[in-house]
Amino acid sequence: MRERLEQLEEDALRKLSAAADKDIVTELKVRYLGRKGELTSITRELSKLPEDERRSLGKLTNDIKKRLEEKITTLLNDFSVKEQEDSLKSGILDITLPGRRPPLGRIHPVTRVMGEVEEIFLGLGFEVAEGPEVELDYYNFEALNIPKDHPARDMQDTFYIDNEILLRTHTSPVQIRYMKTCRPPLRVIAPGKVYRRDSDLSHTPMFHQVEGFMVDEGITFGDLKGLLIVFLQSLFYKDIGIRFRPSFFPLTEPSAEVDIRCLICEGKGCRVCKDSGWLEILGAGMIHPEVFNSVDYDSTKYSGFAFGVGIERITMLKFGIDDIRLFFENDLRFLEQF
Amino acid sequence: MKASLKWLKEFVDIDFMPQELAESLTMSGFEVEGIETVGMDVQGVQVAKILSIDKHPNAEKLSVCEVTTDKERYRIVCGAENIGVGDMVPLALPGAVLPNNVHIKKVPIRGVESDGMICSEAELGLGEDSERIMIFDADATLGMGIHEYLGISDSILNISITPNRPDCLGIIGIAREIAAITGRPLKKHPSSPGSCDDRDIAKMISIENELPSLCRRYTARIVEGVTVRPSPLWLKKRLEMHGIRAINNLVDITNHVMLEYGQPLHAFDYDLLDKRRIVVRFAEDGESIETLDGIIRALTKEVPVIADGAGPVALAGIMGGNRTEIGEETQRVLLECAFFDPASIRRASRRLGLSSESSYRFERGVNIEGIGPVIDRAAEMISEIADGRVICGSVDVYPDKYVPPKIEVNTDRINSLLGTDIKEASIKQILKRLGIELKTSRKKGVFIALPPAYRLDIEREVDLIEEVARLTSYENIPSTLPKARISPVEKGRMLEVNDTAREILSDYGFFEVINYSFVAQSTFNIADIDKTEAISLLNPLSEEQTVLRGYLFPSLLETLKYNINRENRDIRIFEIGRTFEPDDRLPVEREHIAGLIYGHRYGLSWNQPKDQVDFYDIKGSVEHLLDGLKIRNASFDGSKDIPFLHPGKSARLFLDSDEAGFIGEVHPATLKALDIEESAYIFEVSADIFSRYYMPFGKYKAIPKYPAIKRDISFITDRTIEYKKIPQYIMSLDAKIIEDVELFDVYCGRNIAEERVSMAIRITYRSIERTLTDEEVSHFHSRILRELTDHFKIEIRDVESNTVKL
Repeated sequence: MRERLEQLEEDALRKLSAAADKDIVTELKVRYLGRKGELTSITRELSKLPEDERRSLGKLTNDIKKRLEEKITTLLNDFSVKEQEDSLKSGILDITLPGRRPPLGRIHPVTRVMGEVEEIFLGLGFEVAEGPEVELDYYNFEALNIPKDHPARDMQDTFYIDNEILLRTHTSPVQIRYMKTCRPPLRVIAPGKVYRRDSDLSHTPMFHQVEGFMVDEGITFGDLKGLLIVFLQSLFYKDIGIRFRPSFFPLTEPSAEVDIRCLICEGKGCRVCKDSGWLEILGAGMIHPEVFNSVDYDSTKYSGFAFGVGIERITMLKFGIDDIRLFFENDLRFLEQF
Repeated sequence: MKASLKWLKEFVDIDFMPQELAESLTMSGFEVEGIETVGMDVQGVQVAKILSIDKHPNAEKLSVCEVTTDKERYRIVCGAENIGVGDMVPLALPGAVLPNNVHIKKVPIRGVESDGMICSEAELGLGEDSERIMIFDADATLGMGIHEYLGISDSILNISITPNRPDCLGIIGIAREIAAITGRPLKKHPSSPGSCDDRDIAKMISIENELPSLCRRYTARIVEGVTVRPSPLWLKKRLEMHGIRAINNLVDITNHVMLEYGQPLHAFDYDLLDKRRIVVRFAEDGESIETLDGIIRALTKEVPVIADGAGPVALAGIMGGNRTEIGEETQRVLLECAFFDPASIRRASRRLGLSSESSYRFERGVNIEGIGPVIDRAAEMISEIADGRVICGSVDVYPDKYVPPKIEVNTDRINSLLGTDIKEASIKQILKRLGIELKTSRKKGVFIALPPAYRLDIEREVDLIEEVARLTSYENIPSTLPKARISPVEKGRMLEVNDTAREILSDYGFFEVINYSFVAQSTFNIADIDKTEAISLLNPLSEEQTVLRGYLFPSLLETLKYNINRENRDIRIFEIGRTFEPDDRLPVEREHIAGLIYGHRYGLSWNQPKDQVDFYDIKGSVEHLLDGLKIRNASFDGSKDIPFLHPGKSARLFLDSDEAGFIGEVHPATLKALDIEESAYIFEVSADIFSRYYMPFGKYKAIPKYPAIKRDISFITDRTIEYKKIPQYIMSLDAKIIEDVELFDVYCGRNIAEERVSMAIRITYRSIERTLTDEEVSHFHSRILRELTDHFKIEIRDVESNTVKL
């Protein structure tokens, strides 16, 4: 019996040492140590032996079992380490292959900049109002102090549906519609599409505008300057050069044109700023008493300012786009850049 | 308005650089859009005299001239025929540079050495005449640079004049403004009445004004014995620099005076005026006039004209007629200088579709008080330049004299609107500099301002406030921040829906596009809307942009085509914009969200499937959109009657019972008409209706505490049975313990009869109160199998008790 056991251990250890992989070791484990394994069946035979023989052989059996188990554990462990090493060696990817990208779209640059402008004014407590794009002559012109047969109408070449109905040339009619239904104090922006009969490198027959206005007691021209400086600094950058110069808009008086330092040449003079060092960025002014008359506001009590900013122009400046028509051609090679 | 710096300097001292002048003008409301330097591209050309002309020994068409510059003599070979001995000509010697960078050198021409060249107008860049040598007046100074002699070295400022400042549509007006800005005096032309013929002008011409409210002043003068010929070079050059073509001395003089004063004038051939009569009246229906541009214009009774005894001789304030035009035979001239009502001229000009330098000024308003000096200046120039003999005095029909408005000015009001603290004395000083007359008022703190006649834009106090602000300089007004109460802001549901939709769609691979609101009629027709529903523009810019959109998707199809033509092949685009439908007065405007997909689902990529998009891609996109906006209660109903969609692959979207849009494959016929080869899928939904159902905050649902049991069913059913009905039916059996029904496989093809389809669904059972037992789920699941078999006649393929405990 003892010889059998020693023989068994010797065989087992030899086979284990020769084992080439994890599966053989597992097989050998079952063969020797399994429920029906060789060592197990010998153990069963032990019970038939006399007490003292049983004890000494039992100890031997246990020792053999322990040694085999140890050997098997070490082998399995070694194989598993080796396996992992092998798999790391063989699992090398070409990481320069392009990644698997879910399709991703983009928001139109004009909408993005429009959103930026809206957010700035929402942050300053302005409300957002909207109005129709097809407007009555009254709201688009007359109520804004632009009577029929006034040369100021030449400033905005208009698309007409009929004599009285037109495509709004600015979002200023929203001013009238809003003021007709609300009383001061008010702070409002009116974003939207506007239409002018014009088409070249810097004009398209449709473009986007944000009109803003604020009416209360004691609003001054200085306030208009202050607010627009805050707006332009938020939209561009904090130290941007800004200047105000007189201009003419029938709906405001005094009227101002607001320029920023050229973003391209920083004031040295270039093609974009036509060598002036400045870029026209928005029009503004104190709301004209005639406009207040149209909405039955007492212009001796209230004052206010209004301003209008063209979104395409700002977008072009921000991204260095030199042809406004690109915005509406919708070539994907253009849109995917934003 | 172009303005020569030299000309301006005749009226105001300007001793700073043109750039500085431009800056001051810009900062006071007269934007200088550019400064052009003229006469600088010719260097080193001087006045020389021809001493002799001989034939060229070797060339028949050339001659050899001897010329002198007073200091030296030169031999010049020349091909022109118009020269004679004694003529004063421009001489370019070696070292001179002509326009286009032509450098003059000594060169032999057909064997005769030429010391330089004598030049034509064209060679000097001064005109178009390239055949003839330019010949100066006999009194030109020999050896003088031609710049100096011709006075052509100058800066031209291109100034943008806003519609409220017609007084600056003339050199004097701009000079007056410069004087006001700089505080320097405005110089006046020395008045030289000269001699005149003292015959009674009133007997020579009768002027009847039938339209006193339209023509508020009509003044005429007569000059006799004129010689009509080309103008002297300086005058031609000056007009040309200001963008006006020279015609003859008389016409040029009227244009010169107009440029100087901003007041248009007209010259008639006095002898061609029938019955020596001028009548200001409306045209009669049926009358016509041939205007100076050679066009015969039919007139109507709304058009004001200047007529003589025989009919209209000019369109009042717009353009003269050919019948009384100044020509070479003209000997006597009637000069007209008038004030016409701005709005009337503008109406007439628009009605006739004819505008001119003259109508441009009249429709903005001229200086009614300034007419006398203007017509005197013109008469004076005619006598100087066209040898005329001026008849003394003028006929001046001016019944209602100009009365300036009296405007109350309150210093406090000025400061409170501007946010400034300007002293009354400074305000008064500014106003006076602008030629505004000031008077005291009995009211406290108030004074009266009377603007000059040329400032028609100053009507009320706020106009004066602007003047104060302007001359104070906007830059000197301190900027402050407005005081305002803090108040809640709301963006509005519609804008929120649009913004959220933009985010969702762009996250799912859609590019936002923006198309014009107006489309071609053919594009409009794609949507198959009744053509009478089209809202057309009266004055479109092009055929491509004539009607307002009734739907957005036709524009998306155009965008698709545009991109396909540019080799952009896999397309996902969306647009948010308004559609227009006729209504009582203004159209109904509806905000729509539309999308289009086309091409490969994943684009061309090594590690993604190369499938084409299909109906379920567009449907999934809309489902995502609904999900993201937390819109519940949405259902898709198959529809076969949307004309521009594939009848078997389209659906209407309902939110509850509101029809909110459609999705589907574009009808093959529509695609074919657009030359698009593969299938395109679109959706278009109403943002207005979405905004009614959209929930900014969907309520939170607790994460389940108890495990779920999932069971799969695989079955075969008739294709006619819509899938939607199956989960609906299952949920209706006992929604309490059924959490979800998911479809995870659909198959038709091999082993399945043609009219049948195989599907596999997974049912999730869960109670929110307790852990379900296997037995109760099995029990219920068998009931579902039974009910489905009975109700839908489905055939169960496989019942896998795929139990997953979670």
